[in-house]
Amino acid sequence: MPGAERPSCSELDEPALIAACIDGRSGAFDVLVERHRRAIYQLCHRFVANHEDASDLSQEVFLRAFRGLRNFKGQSSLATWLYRIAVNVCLNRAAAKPPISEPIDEHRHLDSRTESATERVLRQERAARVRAAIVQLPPKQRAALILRAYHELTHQEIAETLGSSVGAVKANVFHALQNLKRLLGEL
Amino acid sequence: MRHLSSSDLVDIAEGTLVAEARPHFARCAACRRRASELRSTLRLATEVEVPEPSPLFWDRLSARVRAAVADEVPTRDPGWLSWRLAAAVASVALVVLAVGFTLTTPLWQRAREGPAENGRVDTGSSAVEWTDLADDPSLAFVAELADNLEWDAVTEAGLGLGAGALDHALGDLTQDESVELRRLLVDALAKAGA
Repeated sequence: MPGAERPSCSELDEPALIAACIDGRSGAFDVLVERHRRAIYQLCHRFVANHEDASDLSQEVFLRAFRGLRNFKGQSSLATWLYRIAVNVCLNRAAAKPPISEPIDEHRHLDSRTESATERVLRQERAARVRAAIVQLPPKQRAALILRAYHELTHQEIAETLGSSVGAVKANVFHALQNLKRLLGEL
Repeated sequence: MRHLSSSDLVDIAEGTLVAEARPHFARCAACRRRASELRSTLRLATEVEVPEPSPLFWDRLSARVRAAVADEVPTRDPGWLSWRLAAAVASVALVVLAVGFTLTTPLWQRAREGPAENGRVDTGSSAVEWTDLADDPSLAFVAELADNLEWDAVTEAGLGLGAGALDHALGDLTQDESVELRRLLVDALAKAGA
């Protein structure tokens, strides 16, 4: 309608937001980052188990997304497309750098007001052990487990993300869980 | 006895039991134990949350991404120009066409007549130096830019020729004006490319 104000970027749905980003509309990509930054950071953190690397990787993911947004065809959701970029960034990092997990006392911002101090410490120790064990998994097993267990992608979506088959994804999840059980017994 | 595959066991651990696997699962303790172990490990893994970073972290992350994106120098195809640069080059190209036509048409006519011995031709208003546009690097550069400019970009920028515009340009430019215009074109190109 003539004279009607166009919606702000924060009000745009996903297809419109992507189009606004491609058109170079000011603030559009900021909104895209804001909507997906937590999920991307969490995926990266689960892959590397430390905040600094997860932060760097997250920045790299969004930079690559900015460069490649024109190639996004909409065949998957934007989140799944971003996960694919994140997994590739994390796999490249895994190939280049050995995993470093954070010590337990780095976890400062957990909301634990309803549990005792002992319970909190035990929970944090257990969580740190699991995170450290996941980082020890082979990269493809790590990626399959993270995407399935934490980001609830279907096996088909994981297969497309990793460039493999549903059967291979399930095999990776199976071996990831077996190895995780063994590592938790050793740690 | 053939036990359940790893794929079946993963399905069971995730809460899905395909119909074909039910009979074996019901009677095989080994497969039930393996499925139970996988389920326990999966549950242990999914209970682990990512430590929440500082509340300030999220805005800092967005700011870092914004700065990294701003540093990106877009790679474009030679014919793909931003609308600002397209507008600048389109205006320059149109003026160059007008100037070139003004200078070349008289040259064509003079070519039939030939220049004077001293290389100067009297147009009746002011003397015109015999000029070979092909040797002018500034105009050659603009012409090369104009070659890469798509007409759609020019019209979308609102710089299409109006009726009579070219005739006006042809009729009114003097030699001094064309020299001054050439200087302005070079300056405009330098700024557009900065």
